[in-house]
Amino acid sequence: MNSPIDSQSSIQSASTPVPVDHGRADIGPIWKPKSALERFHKVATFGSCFARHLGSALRERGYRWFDAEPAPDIFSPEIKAKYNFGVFSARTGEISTIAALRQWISWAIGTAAPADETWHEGSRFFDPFRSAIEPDGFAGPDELFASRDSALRALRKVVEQADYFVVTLSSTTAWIHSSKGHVYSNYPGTFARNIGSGDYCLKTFSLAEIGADMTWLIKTISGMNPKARFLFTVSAIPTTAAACESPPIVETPRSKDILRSAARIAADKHALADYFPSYEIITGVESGILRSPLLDDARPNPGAGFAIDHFFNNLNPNAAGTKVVIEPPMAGDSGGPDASDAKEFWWRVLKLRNDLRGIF
Amino acid sequence: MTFGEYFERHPPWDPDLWIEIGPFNPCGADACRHLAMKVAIVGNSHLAALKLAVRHNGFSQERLDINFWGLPGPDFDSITYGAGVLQTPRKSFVLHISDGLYESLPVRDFDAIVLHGVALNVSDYLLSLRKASEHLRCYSSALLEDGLRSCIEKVPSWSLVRSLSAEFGGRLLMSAMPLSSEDGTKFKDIPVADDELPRLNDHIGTVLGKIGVEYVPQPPDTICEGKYTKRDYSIGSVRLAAKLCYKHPDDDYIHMNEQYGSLVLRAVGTRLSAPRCV
Repeated sequence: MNSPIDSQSSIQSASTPVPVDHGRADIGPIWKPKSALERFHKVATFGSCFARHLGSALRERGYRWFDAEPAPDIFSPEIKAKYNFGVFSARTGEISTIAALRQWISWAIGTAAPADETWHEGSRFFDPFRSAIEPDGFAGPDELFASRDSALRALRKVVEQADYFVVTLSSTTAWIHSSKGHVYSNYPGTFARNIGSGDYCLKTFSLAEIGADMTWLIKTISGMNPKARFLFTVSAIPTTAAACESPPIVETPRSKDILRSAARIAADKHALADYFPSYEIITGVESGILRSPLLDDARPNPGAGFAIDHFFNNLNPNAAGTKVVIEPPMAGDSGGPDASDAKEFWWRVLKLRNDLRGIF
Repeated sequence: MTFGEYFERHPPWDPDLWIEIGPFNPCGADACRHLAMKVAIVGNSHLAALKLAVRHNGFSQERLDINFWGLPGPDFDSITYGAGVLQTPRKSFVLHISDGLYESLPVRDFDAIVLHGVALNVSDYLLSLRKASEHLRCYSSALLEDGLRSCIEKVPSWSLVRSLSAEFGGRLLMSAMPLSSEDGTKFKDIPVADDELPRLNDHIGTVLGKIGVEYVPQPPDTICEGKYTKRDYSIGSVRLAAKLCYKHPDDDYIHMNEQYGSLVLRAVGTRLSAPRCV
């Protein structure tokens, strides 16, 4: 009979010391993906840190990152970045809690009415649920809501069509509306001083609440899109002082522990869900070098890059012992045939040809 | 330049260089020319429609003394501005386009400069914006202005516009190249609402206004479905050459005819008759 340690030997022997090279570590295969992630899969990314970096990493490596709300191609790369295009699969901005993601999705699929609240600073209006999406805010409420409606339509498209949802969670706390329960993206007053009634409170979500939101997310999306798979990760960015009741040095490990537990429980409980240990990779190997500075997370940092490299290194389905095989979508089953469907079709033909060559 | 010098430089046996006899006079009498606002319309191949309209009296505006100058296609980018003069290595061609008046264009001699058909491809902007969203209202005004500016600034001829706007003391106008003809398939399966093109034009006007340039949008009468130029205006368009007789092929959907040119000139005249709006 194999010992529990033997059964893990293909991943990482418990007795094998981790070799360290110039501050980085060859930590070997540490993650077995439940589902094969192929280049033709539409991968949606939401949340924070890791999901943001993964979107561009997927594109760079020839994977099919799902950009449901693309910028017009006439705009320069600087403008696209300035207005937060191409960061997440829809222009939701950073979503730090699973409760906020649930709120976004319930608005997108129409199970809840979007909030009509706006914040403003001088003559500029800010969306309380994605405060930083426009650097100088909107000219008025109509413009703000039209832009948000566009993001919600894109998000609904993602819910209906994505093969993979990669969600990076970063916090267990959020500012919410005391009576309406709306979950805000930032500390009220960060971007605009005129924030209405001031009926806000800081809420810390429990492990049970986070788990319930994850289950809702998985069941709701897979109910509309049975091929959808979920990959949760936890951000290594420390919690900010504005979003926690305790000092960040105390709050951060507590918050990350809860998020990691919730994500692992979801992965254990749901066949469609998986957990990628980006937090553990970034913080656990060489925390001093690989951890991202708090305010320097807007660009790929060594820690995130290291975790992303491991993500792709572990993706190979042959080595990963694929448990769930996602059927590639047929051309036309997701909003009509387009160039990417044709590309996907030929990719499959070539793959089949190569497989047949291997057999014969 | 004397006639002899001109004859020597441009021998008449080259038919491409033939010009109509005598420069066009929109007033019909030299006596009133010095009283009119002197306007230079500088452009690319789209200039031909306007030039033909003037030549065939499709446009007559006594208060405007109109002069044409420019080069078709990528050659337009050879035009530079310095010391108050627009110049190009292709002197003989521009001399013919200006009906023998200007090898280089001394802009200070003019009350207004109109850049026609260069830098502003409204059709492409509209298509790109609509391909990425359901309606232009999905974009904030700040995003549209920043995005359009970033796009316009990439065009090679934009540096010419910036130089002129910085130094030219008169009025500087820009009119866009026409939307493609309804015979084309550019916007296939992409409907455009009535308010989208006006919204786009407003933002282009704002972008240009910030550098002191007045925008003259495509005349509304020439537009159909909010995205195309009506077929009637694309039939019979001609190339920009000294002799405006070489027609574009039937499948050319981007150049327009003299009827279109006369409507653009009317829009320019209307704008110039109003006070400067930037």
